[in-house]
Parts: sequence; C-alpha cells; structure tokens
Amino acid sequence: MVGALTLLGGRPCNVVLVGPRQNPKGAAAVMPGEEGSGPQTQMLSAVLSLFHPRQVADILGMQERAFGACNLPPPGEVDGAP
Amino acid sequence: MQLAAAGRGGRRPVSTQYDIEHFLDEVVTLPSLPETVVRVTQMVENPECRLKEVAAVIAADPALSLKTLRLVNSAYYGLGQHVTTLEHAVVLLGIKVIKNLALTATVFDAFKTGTSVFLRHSIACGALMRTLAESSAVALSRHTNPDEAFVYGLLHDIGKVIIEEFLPAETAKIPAVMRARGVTWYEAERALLGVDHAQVGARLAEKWKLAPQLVHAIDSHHDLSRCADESARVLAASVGVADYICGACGLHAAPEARYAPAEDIWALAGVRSETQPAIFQSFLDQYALVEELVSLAA
Repeated sequence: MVGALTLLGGRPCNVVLVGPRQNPKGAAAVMPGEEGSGPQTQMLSAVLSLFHPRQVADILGMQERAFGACNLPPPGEVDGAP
Repeated sequence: MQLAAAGRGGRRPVSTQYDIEHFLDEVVTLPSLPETVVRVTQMVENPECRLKEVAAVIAADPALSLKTLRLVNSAYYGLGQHVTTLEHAVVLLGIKVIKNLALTATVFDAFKTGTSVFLRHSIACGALMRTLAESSAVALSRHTNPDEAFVYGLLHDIGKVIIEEFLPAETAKIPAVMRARGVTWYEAERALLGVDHAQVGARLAEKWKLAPQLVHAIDSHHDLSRCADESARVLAASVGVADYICGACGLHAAPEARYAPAEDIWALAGVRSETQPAIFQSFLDQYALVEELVSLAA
C-alpha cells in the first residue's frame, strides 16, 4: 500500500506499507533526496518525528488493518465518505 | 426555542434548529441513573465508607450485581481467579474500581439501543483512554487514573444514543449531510439540529452527577474552546486523540463517521509521533479483551 502526504516542514513523502508493525521494515518513507540526489528511503520508525501525530495514527492504523492480526476492519471496508 | 430554517412561500424547512435547553425540555428525555449506582457513587465519595457497605448495596440489586460480576470476571480485568461475591470483588479491586464497573454495566444497558459498531467504538475508546492513562509519556496519566480514563472513553459519545433514540429520522440524514458538505458527524449534527452529541452527552453526565471533569471532557471532545479548565482540556484532548486513533483503526462510531480533530489536541494530550508505536502496541495487545467486553455488553 502506498500513500502520499506532506511532512511537517512541507516536503512531500510517499509512505509504503508492506508488512505488519512488528517488522521494522514493514513501513517505509520515501522522500526527495538532497539537491542533485535521488529519493531517499528510510524505515518509518526512524523518521517518525518528521510526521504530524495525526499522520502517524493514520499510517499505524492502516498498517494494522492491512497486515495485523487483531481482525480490525480491512482498509476500505468502513471507509468511504470523506 | 425551536427555530425552523424556513424558506419563503410555504416551502418546507431544510432542518429544525434547536437550542440545547429546548432540546432537553421538549425533544428528549435523559435517562436516570439507577438508584443503586447513585448510592454507590455517593458512598465512594465518603472517605469513611466501608468496603462491605458498598458491596452490600450493589449485592441488593441482583441484576446490577450479576452484570458487575461478569465484568469483574472478564479477562479484560485480568484477576486470574473467579470471583463470586461483590464483597470479594471489592476487596480485590477497591471500591472506586467497583463503582466504575457498576457504572460501566449501567452504560452497557443504555448502549443496547445503539449498534454493535457504536458499542465497539465506545469500548475501544475506553480501552485506548486506559492505555493513555497508563503511559507516563503522555499527559493523561497526570490527570486521572486508568479506571476513570476508561469511563471517559466509554461515555464520550453517549449523546449519540440519546439523539438517535428520540430523533431516528434526523439521525438517518446525518451521513448524507456529511457527504454533501464534506463535514464530520458532529458538524452535520449541528447543521441539522443546532445541537450536538457532545452537548447532550455532557448534560446526561451532569444529570447522573458524574465528576465535573467528565462532564467537561464529554462536552469539549470535539471543541476544546468549550472548556477553560486546564485539566479538563487535557482530558477532552485525550478523548479526542483516542477517538481519532480508534477511527484510524477502522473502529468508527458509525460506518460513515469521520473525525477531523483540532490541531492542538495532540500537543495538549502530550501524544507525540515518536510515542505512538508504543501506544498502538499496548492498545492492540489487549484488543482481544476489548472484543470480550463487546460480547458481554451486547
């Protein structure tokens, strides 16, 4: 799963979810690199401070719903209206 | 005073705008707290109250006694032994916890008119508030204890049950208003009715003579400007955070419900981005127990 958002400070970022929360590599943040370099990919857990708490709640919630073992409603099941 | 948003030339009004006093006087009837729970709440406030006396009052109400013991024996409260008497329960858990359990059992009865989705949301919010209150990393732990925090989360949306019971047709219109205007449930309520579930829930908590902090937290959980007391603002902000995180986990109060929290609730609640993984871990570790409470309450 991939989601685009804007970090604190205004930089664009793509968050990629590939596995459960318990796996440190289960979520990654892809951000523009420094001028002249390509995009940077980092484990989400290493760059949490770049995100607003509301964004972190959205990401962790979606990760649990998509890959977790708690039988939470899967993504899209109860979402819909903005 | 009931105001109709009327057009001219005899056109039907789009909505009926109430003010809260008229709403409570003419439209809804707030339920009373059972006498047993009222007595127990008063007794717990008395520092000279004895455990046996509290247990005896609850035990004299067979229905409440049974429901309270079911909660005591649930895995969520993790006693590790089967408790068969209120007196034993009070010795193990203390009178304040038992008071909260009796109140919880009463609220579960009130929730029976709500949907299972709503019930799950309310209990999940209670569990998440308990998690926040157990964390020294967030502000809530300095303002309340985990058992009281559970009640804050459990009760925060009780006003929705009241509104839906007395105005089912208007409640059914809320999702359409949300979609048409791109607003939250709370905003759609105010657009349709002029009042909202936070106001109604707060008045119910007042009628039930619950702690003033709880009344303020319910009233302000969508609008912190309704509350000036600093501690109550922390409680309300924490409820707002718990509400949002439950929604992020797909545990909305209704399938169509959305929540757009004020930006300052996270700072006021002391919930930082870096501390959220631990909060999620703690909450989700006990989620199976939350489902057990949902089945007990249904």
